[in-house]
Amino acid sequence: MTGARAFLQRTLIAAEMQGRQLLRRRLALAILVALPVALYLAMLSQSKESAIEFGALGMSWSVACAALFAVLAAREAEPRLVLIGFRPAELMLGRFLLLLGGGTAFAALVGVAMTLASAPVSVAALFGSCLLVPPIAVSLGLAVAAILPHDLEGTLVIIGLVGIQLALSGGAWVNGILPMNGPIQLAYLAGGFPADPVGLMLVHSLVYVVALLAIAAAGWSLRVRVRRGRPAAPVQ
Amino acid sequence: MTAASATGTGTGTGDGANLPGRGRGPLVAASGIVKHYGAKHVLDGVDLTVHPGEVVALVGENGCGKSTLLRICAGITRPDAGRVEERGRIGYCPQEPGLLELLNADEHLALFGAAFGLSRKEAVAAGRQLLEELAFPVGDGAVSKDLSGGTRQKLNLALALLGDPEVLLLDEPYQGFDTGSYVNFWDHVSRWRAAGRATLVVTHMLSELSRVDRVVDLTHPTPRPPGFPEAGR
Repeated sequence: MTGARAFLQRTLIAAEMQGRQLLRRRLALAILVALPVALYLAMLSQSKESAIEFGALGMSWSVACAALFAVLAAREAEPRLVLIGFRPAELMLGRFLLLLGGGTAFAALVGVAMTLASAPVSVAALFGSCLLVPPIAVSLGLAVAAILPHDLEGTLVIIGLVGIQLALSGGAWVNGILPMNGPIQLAYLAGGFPADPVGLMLVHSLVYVVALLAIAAAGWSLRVRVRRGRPAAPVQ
Repeated sequence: MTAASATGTGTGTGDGANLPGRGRGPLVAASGIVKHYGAKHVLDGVDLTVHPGEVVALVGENGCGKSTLLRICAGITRPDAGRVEERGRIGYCPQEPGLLELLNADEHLALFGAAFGLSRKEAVAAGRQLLEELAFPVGDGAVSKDLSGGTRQKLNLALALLGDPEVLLLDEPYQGFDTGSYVNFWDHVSRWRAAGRATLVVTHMLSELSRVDRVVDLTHPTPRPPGFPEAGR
């Protein structure tokens, strides 16, 4: 088997097994779905436009926490997998792809629901806001898990980062340096509020995704590294 | 000195001289291993070798560094000093089963088998054979969190054996086994020896030390031959 084919096979099976585990956590999945919906509906009674921002940030919490716990559930098994031949990058990439796919499907559904309920000024901006959430939130969850591989600590950091953005008003400069600024600004645009230029939001989001993934990859590789790396050739 | 400082290169009643593959040198050679956790020194200059076709038991009191030494040999824990040289593929069975709670046995086999380039079908077939030998209830589809402790441990051991490793690093692999499975485990150890595998097993079962070739006692500085556990331990 060629190196590229083996890489693909291992990445795909890592993604598949991640998906199987996630689907079996039915209660957790239900709560992950309910959280952004509840936030959105709670705000909808006050402001249809502002509710979009709450829905997007609720999704950020859900997706980032799903990524965090996906990593933590595998922290005992993954050093073994690396010991026998998996590369940390294959495990990380498989997980990222699975969570990104699931998160994007979820975001699209939430986008449809919010479009119907909020009647946004810009439907494109609303979907942009929703679809920008999964890559950033998955990367954030993976990075936090790599740095703080503990349930409580990791969850609190995610609650803190997203919660600060939820509490801030749109123009606050602090928003500009936090990871979810792109989706928030697009949510403002969708609601007819003033917002930063779209290009700037996309660059901001892209920089965050790349930086967070780099932290996640480096941190997790260090945590699951084995001295030997690949298995030595069998004894003749 | 409280840290374990043992050498495993001495001879027991069976030093492995006539064992399969003995002439090709050790498959595991650890030298001068030092490890401390904070202020606590756990291992202090430990030497250890395991040859092909040799079964070495790692014994010692709780906290003397047996599991740490095994993890260092596996490459999962980095020593503060010293080096480990190995040849061959390693099968590592940790004391706490490193399983994925929400995957069943076949899914574990498919995932672990992919590491060796095995297809799903090949991995499941090979793994099920190992599991059947360990009297694991193959095919019931239960996820690992729903298995009993002993059954989880059987899956843990089978995953270590998948891919025909030349070196077996086993950390009390029979925990939770019923009596029949426990006896069966030591029969397997004899078979692995005959097949030329190098087996390093952490054990507290001093009654079984007659079934190994050499004993390395991390509590005491000199290796003890099988059948000579320290009095009162």
